[in-house]
Amino acid sequence: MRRVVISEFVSLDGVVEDLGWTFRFGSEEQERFKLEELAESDALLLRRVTYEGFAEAWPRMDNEAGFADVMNGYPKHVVSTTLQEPLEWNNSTVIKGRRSSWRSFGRSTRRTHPHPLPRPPLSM
Amino acid sequence: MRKVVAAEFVSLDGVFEAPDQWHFPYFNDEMEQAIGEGFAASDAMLMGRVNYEEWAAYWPQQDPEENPVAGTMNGRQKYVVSTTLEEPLQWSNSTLIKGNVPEEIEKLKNQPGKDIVISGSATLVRSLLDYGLLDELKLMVHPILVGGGKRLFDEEAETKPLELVDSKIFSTGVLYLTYRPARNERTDG
Repeated sequence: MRRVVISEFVSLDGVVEDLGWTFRFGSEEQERFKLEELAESDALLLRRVTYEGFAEAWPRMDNEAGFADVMNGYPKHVVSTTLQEPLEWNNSTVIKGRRSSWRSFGRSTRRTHPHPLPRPPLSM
Repeated sequence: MRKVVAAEFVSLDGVFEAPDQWHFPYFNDEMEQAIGEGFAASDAMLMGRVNYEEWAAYWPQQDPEENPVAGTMNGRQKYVVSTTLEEPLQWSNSTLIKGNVPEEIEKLKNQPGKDIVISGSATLVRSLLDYGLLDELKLMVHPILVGGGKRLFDEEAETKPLELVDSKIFSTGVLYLTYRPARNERTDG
């Protein structure tokens, strides 16, 4: 059976939002690790907020470091009660589920910053 | 100069409150040894009021024959930071720091002696970090999501880079991490 793996950048005090604070810790070692991690998977599971951030950023990202092609190419499964198919970002589908089953989930999670990798988004 | 060291049990989700509810399954020889080394390197404790009141109610009641830690805790010099407590403090060897906290702690650090250790007392730990008076932060990160409870770190605190100076992994999955405030703060790129 396939595994669901959660991979997060997190500060010592547990913050996952606005990843600007990770830049100072960026390294080739970390980049290699994230590429290997992506290579071990073949799909992404996201919720709406992260999806919207990614769908905005990744199609415009160049593939210099090798992330963009993977992110844009992989199937994306997006859990949302409000998004409607077809989704704009390549290879993305919605997992809709019943609203009641996700309401408590939403309450128990905090909003995350829509960027998974420790690099600034394209210049704005 | 003496170091002020904060030594904390903390869950993976950052909870430090009520470790009696979640910490014990992870206690083992390695942890005992690390705690013992921390005790041996120090000769005084620093704490806030909440922590003082909890410990002052507990440790003097313990039988030092049965629980040798009680002897150490009762015998140690304790400095209690509080604006509301009054001298004399009931618990043996306890001294009150009432005002001018940064200056008083600076004075303690300049006295001869071993490390000054804080456990618990999150409010005090945060203030000392803010004032640049904390020399080391030693966390035993337990592989458990406690869910509810007070967090060691403040939601509203300023961003503060730290430097990881030592790390060990206990066989229980507990991470023993030693941090110092970063000396050269790199700016965000």
